[in-house]
Amino acid sequence: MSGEEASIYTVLIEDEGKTLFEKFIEENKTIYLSEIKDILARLKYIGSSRGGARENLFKTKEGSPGDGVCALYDNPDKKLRLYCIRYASQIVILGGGGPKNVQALQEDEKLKKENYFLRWLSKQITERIKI
Amino acid sequence: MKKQAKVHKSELIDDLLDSVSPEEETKITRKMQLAAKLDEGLKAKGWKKKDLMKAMGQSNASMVTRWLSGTHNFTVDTLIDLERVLDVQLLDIEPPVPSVSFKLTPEIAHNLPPEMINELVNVMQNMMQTLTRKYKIQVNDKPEAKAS
Repeated sequence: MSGEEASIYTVLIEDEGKTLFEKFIEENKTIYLSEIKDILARLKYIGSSRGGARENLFKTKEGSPGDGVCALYDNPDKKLRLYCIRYASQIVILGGGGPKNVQALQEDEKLKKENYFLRWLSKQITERIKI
Repeated sequence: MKKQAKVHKSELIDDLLDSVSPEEETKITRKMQLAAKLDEGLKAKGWKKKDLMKAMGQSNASMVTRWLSGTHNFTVDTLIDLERVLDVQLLDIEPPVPSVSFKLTPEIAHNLPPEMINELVNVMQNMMQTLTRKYKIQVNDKPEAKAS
């Protein structure tokens, strides 16, 4: 899905065969197939020469201040949330997510786990960049 | 040991992307393009989302966020209002070209005033010139000599 305008990454945990994004798809494709296809097509557009990871396409401030953790906007009726880290309009790191049926993500253990992992990852990346 | 990012090929993702029909992809792409155009329009005006909210007579900023998200299914009315307040073109609609249809029989032509016939000939000639220029074709306006 990466292209001329943006590079799209995800995370492969050591010893696990699937990336976080693939797990997200596997977990939700049965119930939310049309949303998954919509998300994939939007990510393809973001990577393409016509797109770019413009800020308006992401729900920002989903993590700690300044860590870039955000979510791809979901269908208001379905609320399938995909968390990611966005670095300007060129880089997106996809994480996991799930259906959001709560007000605050902290009320849902699954969403909290996925979101907090990306907060941790963003912190690690920021620290490595400083070194 | 430092590890580098690798290009990841996923059959799962490829298969799902392949299952997105061209029609679905066009709809998604156009929605994303509309969002980009609106975002550019906002920036050109130096507006924040709240400014657009007010200009559009909305009371809820989340609707503006939705318009910019690339997922919104706009009504034509909303697009027309957005074009007006942001000075951007979102609907590429050319005004309809008036079509004229008539059958010019010798009987009708005989009864037409000469100045109208001249005007008709001029219109036809101009139209032919425009079309031949546009489609880069040459028209032989001399009648072919008949074989004797």
